[in-house]
Amino acid sequence: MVKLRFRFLFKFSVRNAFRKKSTAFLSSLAVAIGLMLVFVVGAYTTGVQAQFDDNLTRTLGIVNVIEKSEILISTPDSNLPLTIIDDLQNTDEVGEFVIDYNIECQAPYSYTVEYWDKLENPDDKLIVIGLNKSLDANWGGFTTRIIQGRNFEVGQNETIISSLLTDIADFPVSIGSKITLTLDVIGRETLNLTIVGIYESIEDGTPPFVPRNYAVYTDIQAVWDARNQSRIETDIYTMVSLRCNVDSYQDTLALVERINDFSNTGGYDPTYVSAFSLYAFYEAVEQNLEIIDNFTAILGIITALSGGLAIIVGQLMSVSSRIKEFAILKATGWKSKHIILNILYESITLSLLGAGMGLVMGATLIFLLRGNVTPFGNTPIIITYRGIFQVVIYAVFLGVLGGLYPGIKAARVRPVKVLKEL
Amino acid sequence: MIRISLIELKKVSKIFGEEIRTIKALDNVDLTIEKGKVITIMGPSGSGKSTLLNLIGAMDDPTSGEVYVNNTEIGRLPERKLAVFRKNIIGFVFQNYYLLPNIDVVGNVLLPLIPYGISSQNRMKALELLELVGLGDRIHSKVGKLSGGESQRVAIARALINDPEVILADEPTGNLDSKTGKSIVELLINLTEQGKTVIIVTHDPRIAKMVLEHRYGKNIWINDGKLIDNPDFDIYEW
Repeated sequence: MVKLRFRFLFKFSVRNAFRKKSTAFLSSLAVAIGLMLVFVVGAYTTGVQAQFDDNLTRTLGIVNVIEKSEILISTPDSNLPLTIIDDLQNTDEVGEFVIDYNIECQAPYSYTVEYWDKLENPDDKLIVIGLNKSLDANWGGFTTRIIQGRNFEVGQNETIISSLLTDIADFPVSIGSKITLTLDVIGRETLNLTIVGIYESIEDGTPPFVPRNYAVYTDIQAVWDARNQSRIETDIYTMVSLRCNVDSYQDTLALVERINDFSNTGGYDPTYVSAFSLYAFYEAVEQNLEIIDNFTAILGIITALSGGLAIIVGQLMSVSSRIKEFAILKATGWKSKHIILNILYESITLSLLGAGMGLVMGATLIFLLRGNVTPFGNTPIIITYRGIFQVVIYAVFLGVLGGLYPGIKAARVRPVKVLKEL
Repeated sequence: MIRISLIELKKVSKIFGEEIRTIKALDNVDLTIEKGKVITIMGPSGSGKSTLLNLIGAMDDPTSGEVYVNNTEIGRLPERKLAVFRKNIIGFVFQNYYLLPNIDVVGNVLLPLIPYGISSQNRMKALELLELVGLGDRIHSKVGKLSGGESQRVAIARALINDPEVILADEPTGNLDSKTGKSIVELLINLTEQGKTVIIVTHDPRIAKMVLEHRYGKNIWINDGKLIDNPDFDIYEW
């Protein structure tokens, strides 16, 4: 029974918390707005984080090689000789791990002028990537999973497109549709391709206002043929992706280092190459994301604290108007700690109500944000038990913060002084 | 019948204010009150009646002197022990009742017990006390709907819930009409039958008269902070 004795104090406090309903509601609403922000930002960053984690998983064992001095952009202007495959295969401590090549020949310019105004963002582009299927027996990498139709066949002018395009393209992208892709700005190189498959492509967390490139895969020979027509560049690989049999990201990075060391000592003379893993890229992005996460978390906490301030103000007003009541409670045998606990329970009750309201408001907001009309676009927003728990913990913290000072103030009441003044 | 000294004040003074602007509310007061007595403290406004009551009830500290209640010098008790002392030994009844409007009658009676836990026996006792004060049929009424007399009865039941030895009533009939006030005083006086010591601060001679007519009743006179043995006025003619 002794253990449960504070149950009565708690019930008493809960009832007191709602004595002035409008004040209680406004205090809770202030907390709710702050905690809603914490909840939504938490859910959003969790979604982005999950995507990055997924991307990181996909980078295991993938080593990309481009011409040295090129930087990793969506369409590297890189020229690798056809002999690069043998060179890499013969590189010590590299070739033995390689299980597949994924030879890409990206279009030098991906201005697919026909579709400029038919994508989500005016600066979005389609990138035409030629793949050498004969060198990639298992068809690894990002285009493994065809979710609709089939993969393209060599020599048939067929293509597979990203599933993301099916949501945002303002032109026919269904199986059987034809698309014409221009490979340079003056329209000398064009490809007429039939869509035969749609591959799974996930959102990477990029906000829709940032220009995106949507990869359209076809047979590498088709790209070369188009280029041959204009007699400018032919029979080069833009990028070679190696799928290696390793167990860890560290091993992947070790292979990258090995290729770069070999290249820097003239091993691939006359062509110098640069190897990289997207793991390092995603890791760097993730670190930046963490900074943004922390910033938004701080922003959310500050907003929530302002809600806590509302509780403090509300409770201080409440304490001032109930000073006589506390004097009576002390006169009847309540200890100072009982008064403090009473106020703390009241403020925690209000902030927990705010947490409940914030969660409902946040869930509603997340539902609305899932549409395409918001800056969040299609980025998944993931609600987790951890996120909900975090909001509840914040609420308890804000309740304690909001009730402590008013509680101490109330506990300092000297009954004789108050009662004499009345 | 042997009566045991329950309350003892030794050379107690209470001074309010600081330096030159001071008011001596009590001046070297010596007082002994036996267990089971019903006492009125009489005197004009500002004479020190309420100050004396507050010192006995551990609501205030004396500037000098010692206050003993139940052989405990309450001036030496730390804050947390004072709270327990007030809970177990003292029951206060105020002129303005000071009931909490958001809880019902029985909730107000149980108020002192809330932080310590409320047992079924406590609930039973609260109901018994409400029967005693004549409010057995109003236990779940909102206190805002009670008359002044009924409110004061609730306050008396609240003061008794911890079964204290001393009941301190500060102008308990101040806000009541004479008929209701009389019934409240009768209620307080009858508490002596349960062995309670009742101290009533009042400036109403009719109350003093009622108390004095009781076999354990006694009037104490105070003026300018000093107890007076033989007042120069007759309460029956006041």
